[in-house]
Amino acid sequence: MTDATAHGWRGDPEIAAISAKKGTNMRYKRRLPATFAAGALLLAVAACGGASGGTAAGGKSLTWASTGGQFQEDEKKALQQPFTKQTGTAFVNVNPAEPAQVKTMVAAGRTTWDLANMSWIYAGAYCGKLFEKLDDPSLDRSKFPPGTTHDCFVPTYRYANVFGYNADDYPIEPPSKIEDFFDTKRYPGKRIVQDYVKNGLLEAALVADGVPLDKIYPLDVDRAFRKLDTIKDSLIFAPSYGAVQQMLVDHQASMVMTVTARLIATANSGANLKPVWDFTTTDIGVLVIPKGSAHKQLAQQALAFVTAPAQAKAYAQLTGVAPARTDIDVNSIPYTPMQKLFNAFLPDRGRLLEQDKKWWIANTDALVQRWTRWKVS
Amino acid sequence: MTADAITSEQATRPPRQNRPDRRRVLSPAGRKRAAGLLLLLPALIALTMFFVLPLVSIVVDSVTDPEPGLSNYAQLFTDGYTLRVLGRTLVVALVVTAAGVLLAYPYTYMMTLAGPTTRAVMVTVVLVPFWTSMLARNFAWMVLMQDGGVVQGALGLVGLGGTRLLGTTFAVTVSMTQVLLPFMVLPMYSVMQQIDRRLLLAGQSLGASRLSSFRKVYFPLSLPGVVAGASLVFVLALGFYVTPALLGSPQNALIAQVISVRTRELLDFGGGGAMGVFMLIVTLAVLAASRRLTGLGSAARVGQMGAGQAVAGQAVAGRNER
Repeated sequence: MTDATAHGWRGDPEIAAISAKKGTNMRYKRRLPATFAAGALLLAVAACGGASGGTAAGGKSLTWASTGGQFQEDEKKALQQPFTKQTGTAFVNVNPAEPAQVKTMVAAGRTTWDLANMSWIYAGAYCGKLFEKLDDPSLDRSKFPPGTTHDCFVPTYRYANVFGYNADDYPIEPPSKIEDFFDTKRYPGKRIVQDYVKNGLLEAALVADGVPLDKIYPLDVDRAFRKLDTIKDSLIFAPSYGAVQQMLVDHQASMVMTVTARLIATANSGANLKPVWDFTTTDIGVLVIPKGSAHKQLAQQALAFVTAPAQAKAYAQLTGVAPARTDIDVNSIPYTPMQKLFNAFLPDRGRLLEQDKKWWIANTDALVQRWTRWKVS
Repeated sequence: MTADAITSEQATRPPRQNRPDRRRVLSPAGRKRAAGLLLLLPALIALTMFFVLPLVSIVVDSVTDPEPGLSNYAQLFTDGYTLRVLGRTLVVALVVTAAGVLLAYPYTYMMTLAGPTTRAVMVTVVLVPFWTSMLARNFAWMVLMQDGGVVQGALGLVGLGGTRLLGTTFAVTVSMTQVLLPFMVLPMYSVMQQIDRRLLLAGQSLGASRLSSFRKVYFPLSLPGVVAGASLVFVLALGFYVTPALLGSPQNALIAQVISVRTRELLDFGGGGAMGVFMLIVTLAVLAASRRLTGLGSAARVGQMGAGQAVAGQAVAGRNER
């Protein structure tokens, strides 16, 4: 997608350079240097295009990288437009927000993104190296749930890794506790999970294996994988969120553990999904500032602005996630019935556990390797 | 005596003494060569910028990131999954190539025998999937192969109901074979249509049976096309990403998916680069071995050409895949 866009805005100067070359009527022996010159011009134009990519001429502007699709549309509506109204800042939206692209931009010394919606793992692991430290006093970390902030990130919303099941597949005695996810005898059927090690499965495996909640971290990884081995044949590792949705709607899987927004979308597209509120891991979404952003201060002001009650509530209402700040009452948000059904932050949702930021930042790389090894063997 | 040797081209040239600065003016032949270079220039610039430089950067990263040395390469052998996935990738690519040859050879042979209208239809049938979007083709296979889908239903009729297809290497192989079929048929056709069928008749007139004249005359002549198509398909199959991601499962990942995890999730450009370089070396080795095995002079030459096309083709296909 980004490739195509890049070609789009590089196309015009290229055509201009070529037609300029055609117009020159030189003698044959001078054409070779002329071609070189035109080639060099073309490269220079392309390079300039790369450097200024996304920044509007004049006025204040922030480049916002995110997921694309409906989620980014909701971000425009609930978060960006009110900020534009208040400060006159224009937004340039790009996607997908790939951490690998941040690494490339920082290495090239050309950071064109100012805010990026991506996993906090990267901001935590590469804080100060690939991501800016947040030092603006307007970002009051005491307003957020304990353990959810870091030098390089504050949460902009909260979500959960929810255990759900297809009610058509278990009509008589539906699953009711986290142990049922790991009981393939009483509850046969495929379980679809995100192909990502921090998908809540390791924590769930330990709880189902009898580890008390306050002893979950640091994770006993060996024990968790031993528990996962018992259901490995029933697990489907979904390569994308779209695949989760498609496979649940098409009855390719009977149980699922995935993020709140995806369950809502799946249920809305026709799957008879029900959540199980026994044990659920919760997590945060963040907007991080890539290292070398030209508008770091403005980006931090935008960050403080989007976590304020009015914006956070509008965002929650559109997407079904929960606001990050503890001074916002989740019950006051007019969620749709479907959003309410899968929202882990409303009353009576069983045991909740916030995924430990410090532990995951320190261990994700090793665990991704182990997850890959375990999967393919 | 010398006048006899003068070609008509040289004769039309003005006498030398009338051209004082002849060192600066190119001869017609030189001019032709300069024009040739000039025409090559855009391709050379593009190849250097978009292929050679990135490749050099990958190789450099693989031995310098995170620290100088060969640790990234050592890790390929110790991480417990790269070799397994690489082996699976090679097997899938070989099966796709073999299945492709078996399907494409008779089809292409029929194309050379058919009349112009039938041939046009046959070419179109091969090319239609080539023109449709990669994603559309893969999603179509996904719907066909899923549990309760058409293919599973058909298998149920012969007593194989409930066989899981989606998420298996089998599904990936079937879809890849279909997607890559044009790359097999077209090089084969370009070689086969040039074979003089009178040679077969000549063979039969000398007492060979139809089968043995085919085996001893036609087949060896068609082999360069087979080698070219097979190398092309094999190399393209090694780099497939979208098809195994959609139709396979992460348990059955192919090397492109593992490289993607390395670079996109772990931001380990060095490690991902090392996998890529290792893959490239293995690919070149397999191609060299297959050339030696087929061993025919002309076949080898076309095979070489095919390998060159394949590398360029992979770059193009890689873009399409993404």
